[in-house]
Amino acid sequence: MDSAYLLGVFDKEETMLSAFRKMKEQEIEIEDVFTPYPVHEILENHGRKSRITIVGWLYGFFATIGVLAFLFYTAVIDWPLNYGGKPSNAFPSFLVITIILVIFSITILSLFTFSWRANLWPSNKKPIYHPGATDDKFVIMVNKEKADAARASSVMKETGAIEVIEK
Amino acid sequence: MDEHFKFTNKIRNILLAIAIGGLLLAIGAIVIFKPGASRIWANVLLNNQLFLGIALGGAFFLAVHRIAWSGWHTALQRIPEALTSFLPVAFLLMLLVFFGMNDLYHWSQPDLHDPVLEGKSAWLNMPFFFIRMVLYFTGWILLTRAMRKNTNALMDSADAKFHNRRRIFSGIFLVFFALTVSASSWDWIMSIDAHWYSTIFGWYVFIGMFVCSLAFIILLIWFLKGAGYLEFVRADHIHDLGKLLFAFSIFWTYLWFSQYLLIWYGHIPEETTYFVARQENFKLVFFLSLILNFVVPFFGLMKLNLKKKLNWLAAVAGIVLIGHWIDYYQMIMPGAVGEHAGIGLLEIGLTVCYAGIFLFVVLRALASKPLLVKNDPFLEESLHYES
Repeated sequence: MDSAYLLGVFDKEETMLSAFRKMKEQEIEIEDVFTPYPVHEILENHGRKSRITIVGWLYGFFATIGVLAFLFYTAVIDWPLNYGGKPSNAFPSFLVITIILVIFSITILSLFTFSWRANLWPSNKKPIYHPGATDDKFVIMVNKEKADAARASSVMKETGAIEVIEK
Repeated sequence: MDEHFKFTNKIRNILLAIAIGGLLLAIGAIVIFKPGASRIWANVLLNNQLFLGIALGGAFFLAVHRIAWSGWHTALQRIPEALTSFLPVAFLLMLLVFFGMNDLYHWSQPDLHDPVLEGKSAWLNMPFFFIRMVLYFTGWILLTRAMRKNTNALMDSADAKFHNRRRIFSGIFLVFFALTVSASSWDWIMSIDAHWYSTIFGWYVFIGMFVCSLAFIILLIWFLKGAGYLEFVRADHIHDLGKLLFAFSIFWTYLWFSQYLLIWYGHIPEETTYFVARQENFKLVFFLSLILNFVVPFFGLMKLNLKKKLNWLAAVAGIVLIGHWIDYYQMIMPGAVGEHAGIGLLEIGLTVCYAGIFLFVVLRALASKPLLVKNDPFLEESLHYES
């Protein structure tokens, strides 16, 4: 089977970043970058801006309204109880529950959104291009059809990739 | 590398003019409006507490970063360090409170015949109050002086022992500070309402101090960058300061709410009197403090790129600083002054006067040495820092 991708494996953030910068400079198209932790420069310059923060904000906004409405419905409309002589609509005491439930809603909903966008769901097996990418290595992936593989490979070797493989 | 902030005669004269002008304004307001002794002393206490908090927050900022061997802050470490040089002046100003004890703290009046206050007299009595004050300040001044001297030594010598000492000083300072900052807030602020107590009060005041200090550091950086200094403080450092201001403003609200919710929910008369006094006569400042200290930084600094814009961040920091002035106001005035309190020329004049003195001391200390500590081993890391 013909290999479709070229993978440059780096063991340091700095070397990976210098390869990344050089490839951007030479206009070699990068398919994807796998890093063990978020690297801001990659996030900003890879040209795929994540909108998950906006979605997260919207979830938070609507979850706040939803949770407060739910608490108002349960404590005031549906089943008012007199506890400690407080009014039924005891707003300050709702806030703690609201904070907790909003955090919970944002977390769960963002997780589902992310999984949906990244095509991660049960039974959908995603390829692991390099075992190091699941550990502590930085991997730059180049699609051989879209970019010049020979040039990409030489840039990666030059900047200190510990391994350049085709897959 | 050897960039110096120049404390020119022009800056000195402007600051002295601000201080004297503020003082004249305050004296004029006292002569014309005759506000009464308790209102004057409450204002002295408010400004003491505000500017003391900014100075102490600077020391705390350095101590927490150094004890964790943090690298990013080393490029701007001289600024919080300069803030701490105000502490000896703060001590002198705080000693002034001696003359206003009876006007500020009703527990200090002789022949009280109040069983609750007699029960608290082991802690709340005049000699012990001043012994504690001297103790707090001696510790703070000596420790921050040692920290400053150590930094100065690090400027001249590359010996690693000066670097390693920083962590020891920070550790001692943090332990001492944790105990004294709570106790000092009970003494100076909480004991105004001597019948009332709140166990979270010390933390609440302390976080207010730290937020003030962060806001002031941001404003100083804004001023210095505007004057052409601090080229090496980049958007990444500003971003981190913005994150700290954002996070600690939320934490301040968390503590505010923890105190409020428990008292509101418990509904015990001896506890709720505190908030009743504030919500009846001080409704505006009570809610304004929440808006300025929580709503403004929360929405103003929520977006990532807004935290990196120094002008915007400085504007938010200025609002937060005003917010904390108002927060101290609603802590001190209802108990000490009562219904006659107000924000007038006296309040504005005295705060302007204090700000002039504070900036004079701080900027002079900043100018005495280069802005970068060139032998700090973390300096390179800080200069290339990415947030």
